[in-house]
Amino acid sequence: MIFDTLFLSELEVIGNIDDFSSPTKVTTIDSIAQKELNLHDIGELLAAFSPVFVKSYGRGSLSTVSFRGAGASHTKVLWEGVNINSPMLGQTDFSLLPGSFFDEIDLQYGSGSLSQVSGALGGSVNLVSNGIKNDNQIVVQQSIGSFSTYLTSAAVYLNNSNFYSSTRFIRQSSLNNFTYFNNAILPSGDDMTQSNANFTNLGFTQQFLYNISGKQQISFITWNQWNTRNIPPIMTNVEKGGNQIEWNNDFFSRNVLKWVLYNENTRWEAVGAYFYEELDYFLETEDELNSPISLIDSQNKVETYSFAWNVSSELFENLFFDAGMEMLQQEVNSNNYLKKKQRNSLSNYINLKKIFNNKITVEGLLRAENVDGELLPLMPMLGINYKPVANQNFNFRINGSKNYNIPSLNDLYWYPGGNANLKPEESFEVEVGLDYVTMFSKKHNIAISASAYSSLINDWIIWLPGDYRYWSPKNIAEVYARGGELSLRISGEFGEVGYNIFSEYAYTLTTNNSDSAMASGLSDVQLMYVPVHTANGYVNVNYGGYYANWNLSYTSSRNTSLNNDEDYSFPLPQYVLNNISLGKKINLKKAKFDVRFKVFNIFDVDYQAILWRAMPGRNYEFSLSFTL
Amino acid sequence: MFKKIIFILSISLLFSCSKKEDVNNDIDDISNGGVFIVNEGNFSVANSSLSYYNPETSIVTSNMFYQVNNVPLGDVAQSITINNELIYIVINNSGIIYSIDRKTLEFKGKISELTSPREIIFINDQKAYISDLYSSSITIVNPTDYNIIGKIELGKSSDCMVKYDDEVFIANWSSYAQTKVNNTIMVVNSENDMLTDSIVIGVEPNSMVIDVEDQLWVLCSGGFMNDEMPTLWKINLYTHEIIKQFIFADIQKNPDNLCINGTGDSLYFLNDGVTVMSIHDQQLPDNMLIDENNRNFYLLGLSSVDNEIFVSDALDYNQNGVIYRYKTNGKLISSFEVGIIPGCFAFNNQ
Repeated sequence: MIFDTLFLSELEVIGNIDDFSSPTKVTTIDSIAQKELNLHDIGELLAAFSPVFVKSYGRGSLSTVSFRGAGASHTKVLWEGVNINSPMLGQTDFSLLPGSFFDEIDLQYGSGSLSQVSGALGGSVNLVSNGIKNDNQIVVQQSIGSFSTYLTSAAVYLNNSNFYSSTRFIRQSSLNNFTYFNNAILPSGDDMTQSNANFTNLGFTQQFLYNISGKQQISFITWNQWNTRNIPPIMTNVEKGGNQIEWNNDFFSRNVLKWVLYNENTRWEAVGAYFYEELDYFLETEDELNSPISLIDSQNKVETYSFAWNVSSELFENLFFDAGMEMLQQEVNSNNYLKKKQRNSLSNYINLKKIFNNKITVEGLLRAENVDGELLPLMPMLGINYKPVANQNFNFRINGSKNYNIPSLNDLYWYPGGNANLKPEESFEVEVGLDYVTMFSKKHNIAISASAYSSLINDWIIWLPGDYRYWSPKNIAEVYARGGELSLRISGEFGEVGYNIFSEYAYTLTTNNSDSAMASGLSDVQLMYVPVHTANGYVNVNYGGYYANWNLSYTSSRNTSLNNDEDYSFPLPQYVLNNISLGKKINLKKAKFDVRFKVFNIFDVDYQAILWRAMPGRNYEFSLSFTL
Repeated sequence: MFKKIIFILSISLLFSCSKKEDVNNDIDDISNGGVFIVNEGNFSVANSSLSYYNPETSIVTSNMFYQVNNVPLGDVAQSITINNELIYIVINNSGIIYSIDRKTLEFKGKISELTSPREIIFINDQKAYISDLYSSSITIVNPTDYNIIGKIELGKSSDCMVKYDDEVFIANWSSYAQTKVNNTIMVVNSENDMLTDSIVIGVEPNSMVIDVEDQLWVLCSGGFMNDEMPTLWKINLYTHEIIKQFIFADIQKNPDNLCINGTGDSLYFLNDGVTVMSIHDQQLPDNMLIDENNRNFYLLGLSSVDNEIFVSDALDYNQNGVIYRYKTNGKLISSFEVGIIPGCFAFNNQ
């Protein structure tokens, strides 16, 4: 959505649909849902409340998100409008995004995000930290959970009409030493304790915002985080010798300076960003005398500089114009590259949107990107939104787009194996959908949304073992992804009792139609780790400060190899997880307390999200939140 | 689309000449004369598996270890060794070696706490050696109770092993666990478990065989980053002296999988395709016996009964592999599907 800031006051947010005239699909994670998991990471939040697929190696471990059968690197994450995907990996680890740092989380499906970023072949996640509170406020939250998991979160908001400051802090630590049934090593039947899975995250954000005048604003925000985690062995490898030590430490500092000017119908914005990231991966095997034998010590430093400006305006009545430019420089200094590597890109976009008779919205976008002196083919998007009945929030939308995702720097330069000759991945997508929002008895809101899409991704990059022991990426797959999403949201009240019911369902078929896949008869096989069905449901009931929530999520079976034949491989079975929480809000004068007790995986389901990676059974969390 | 249809048609024609064989999941079919295939699977994914092929019935049985024991084989099954009534499977990245019954495949015992085991070789009923990629020593175990009873410090990483009289020849394939170049065959006396000699050959010795004239043959790939020319060495087993060195023409190639036929006079190895030479040849052959074509040959084996040639195609290493079975003259007999990355054969002959 392009005009969100400019027209925020005019927009009525009902259900989870942001902009009824948009031809692309954008949803917002509901604030009640967000609160439910605000002491967890965004990966856990999306797994519980959205139809995207979250591939998690366990709490505190790597967690990636994919939309619509595309890959994790086809999900672009924007924070304050700036892409935070790792330039090295091309993807974002959602376990490092603390829920309490963001005021709003939007999901943009398909290529609707082309005005902000290219390469979101699946979709993008927009994180907004910029939540101005009307009054000065202090929020302190503490949670205590199973497996020695502690999280402290604090925030201070100051508002002095023209000057605004927000400070947020979190510290999370967990031993993560849960017990699980290990059926992956003989003799089997033993309960085991997960080892070497502890993690700590420490982070803060600081934002200053100054209103230079009623129409001009300057803001600065910094997000700094230190993450330390050990990496547990997979279930088959718990008896490995050699005292293996494996960990992952990272630090990042993300800084964004923004200037905004409102002028009649026009909004000008300039954004400068500087990101610094350090990623260290360490794996050591020791001999009997505790001296190291084999060692991987991968040290990587990434710096990103970006400068962008954009202007959006209502040129004539109901004709909206938006254009912008971004200059980006990424620099990687890694002991896995032969030398320091840099990438420079310049991108431009122009977007026009015309609304006819308050019924039909036509939007067209064109993006051009030059990467290291080479111009990518143009990326266009065209969409139409049609509202047949004047006073009804009933909208049809259709859009088509072409998008490119450039290879990550590891794809190009990792030594050995990196392939500097990779082409960008190319996608064509069409999408149709409808959104309907209505109210009945003035007390109940219903929002229904349905979408269907079809996309073809060519030159999909896959790392394959080469002729000799190291892997190398190639533009190999031709992926055909198609499917649909359904969403139903009802909220309202019966007298004193308020309720919210959210449910989401996604159907995803994704296959590799390349010549080689067809030749080996694998072109009909669902890609690895993409479930055909995912669904979730959420029920919230509240009365007089008391509330109860129930959340259910379903993931259908997944292939873990290219062959789905059970005679050969280990398809992972479907699973259903249920979480409940009960709480009470208490107001004492100006102070507000919120006491909450949660039970995760209440039926103690023994499941694997990834083959032979242990996951915890039933576990508990108690949290207390204080707001003044 | 039309192009694809033509392509599929041509592929199906290509394969229709060779017989596609049945898949079965019955373990009753473990007969004499068949072959076990250990499929490595992908590193840190733990999708290794065990397949069996019976040439008499042409039946392939897959994922047998899991079917019998309800537990996955583990993370990167590296090698398989038959010792009397037991089968030992070395699971490299799980750091364990399973022993299973040769007829029922039921779990019998386990050696664990190994660092990165590669192969097991049996010295006698009370003693076996285990080579290890990440350890600078050989682990000595007692196969009767699966206990570790000692170590032989080599100062180097160890890989494939062959035994001749009371000497064990151990290839230093990798440069892990050492600062020196990986270009030696280490000799251990199996009576007193002492390192007695070290023979310098080419970089990265990957496979060894003993011929009918009591000579040791060692194939070296020259290093995975192509440090030097690949080489083949003929060594006197008694004096440990090098009789002859053959140098391959192309530094980019990584020949491996040296095998010998039942009569011990013909060498077979993979250098893209399958190459064969006599132990008396004075130079490396120019021709392939079996061309690789567009396949990805990964493993070579010879059945000792009738010298049939078994070659595995690991395809893209992510999907089920294929085994091609040829006559000694290179004529294709049949092909069959096994698990991911077929990496080791054990011919089940008594």
